[in-house]
Amino acid sequence: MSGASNHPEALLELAAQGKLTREHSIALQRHARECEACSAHLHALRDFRDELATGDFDSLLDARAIEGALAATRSRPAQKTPRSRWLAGAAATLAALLLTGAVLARWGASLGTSVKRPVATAQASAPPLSKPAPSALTAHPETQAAEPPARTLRSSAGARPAPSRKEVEPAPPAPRSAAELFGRANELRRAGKDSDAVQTYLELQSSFPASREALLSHAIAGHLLLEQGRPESALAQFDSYLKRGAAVTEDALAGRAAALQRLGRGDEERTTWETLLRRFPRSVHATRARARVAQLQQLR
Amino acid sequence: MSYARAYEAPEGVPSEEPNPDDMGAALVRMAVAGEPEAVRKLLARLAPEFRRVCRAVFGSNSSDVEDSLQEGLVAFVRALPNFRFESPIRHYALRIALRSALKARRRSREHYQHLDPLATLAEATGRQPLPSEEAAAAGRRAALRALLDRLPEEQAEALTLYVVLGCSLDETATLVGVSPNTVKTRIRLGKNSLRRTISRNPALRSLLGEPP
Repeated sequence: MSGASNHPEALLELAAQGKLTREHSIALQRHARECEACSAHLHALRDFRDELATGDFDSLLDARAIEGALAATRSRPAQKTPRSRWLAGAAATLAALLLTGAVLARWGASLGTSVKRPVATAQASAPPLSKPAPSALTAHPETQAAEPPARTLRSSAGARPAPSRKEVEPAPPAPRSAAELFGRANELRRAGKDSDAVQTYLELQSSFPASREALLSHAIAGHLLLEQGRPESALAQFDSYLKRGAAVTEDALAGRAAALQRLGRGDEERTTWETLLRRFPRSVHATRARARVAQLQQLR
Repeated sequence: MSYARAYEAPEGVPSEEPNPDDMGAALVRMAVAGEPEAVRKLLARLAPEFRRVCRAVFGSNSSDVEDSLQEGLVAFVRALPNFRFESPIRHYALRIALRSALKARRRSREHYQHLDPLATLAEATGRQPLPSEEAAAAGRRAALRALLDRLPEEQAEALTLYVVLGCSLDETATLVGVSPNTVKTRIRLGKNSLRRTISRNPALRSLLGEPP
């Protein structure tokens, strides 16, 4: 290949849309034989198509990420507009300058005073110059109620100086939120510690049974238990999810059917696959569901 | 009645599969206003797009996909109050998803730049033998990602949308937020850079083989 610096983008766009005529196709092939970049482009259009298609249990992946994202945005407010950020920044700087001046004026009287305190106080108490943007901070009342106050921005901004060692009392056990337990379980799962992850999901379910995180955890734990060869426990988890679930019903139905298959409960498995096909006819599990229904019907 | 039937939709109820294009204006307005349920619903509709972008950038088997997906969604929720209804929310989301994923990948630059595309190919085929075409496709994907890592950010962004995600030039320009001519220039420069790198590397050239 000798290369070419002008690339036939119009033809490549048609190729991406699957609208190349035979003549176009020949012209494009001729160019691609001379141009490694366009050859790579043509390969990429095909190579990535399958990789990026929705696969089995992707809705579970999405649901986990959504819960994680909402939990993260609850613990930190949404981003303000650039203008209000600039104004707030200017206000904080002004307040800090004024207070620094005050500190310097009093420096002679109190050399030991930490400058951290007034500056931090100024930042924490700077009045908002514009109405703060509404956020997903209050996205879930249950989690909001369970959110430990120590995790709020205000308390972590250092508004009060750290107490001396003598003043430190043994801290009470940190209250756990559903989001915190969910996040911890997800981390364990990502680290490959599946048994610990399942335990943490179960703890979440017993500690915060009404939370969204606990609900979703039934479907996630179900899949982990299935992978661990515990179909009975997995089935119980899928059934718990399906009693109230919504977002990942499709995956939970597929998981339930898989658990029933391992338990040799053919009739229930077939009914579950049929339910999935009726409710999600274009499901990523549809091919497998149809194959299993056909197999199970033959066995009857 | 079996357990499965107990929770199935009544007859006549349409299938529950969401239509990805059905991003109601009312839903978007409520989400932008910070209505929690609307934010959740919007995320549920957009998450597959975010997932596609993360997989495009990291590869479907990368353990970084889930973290990057969550990170992208967080960035989107935080940026929602700034949405000005000047473009479809899907475009706004895709732009955030792509920038967030590319940023995360470049943050892990050391990790990814140590991955020789051909070593990645060996890794992809190492555990269990794959059909040769599948292995070659995995190798080409890894090689392209590694090559994109070496490009300036703006060119990598445009090429990811155009070459990897299959967007049109106009879509790419809209998503990147520049004129079509600017995006064409970025793509041309990026492609010329790719071509030079590939032509200097016989292993990459053989990986490409004949155009499909």
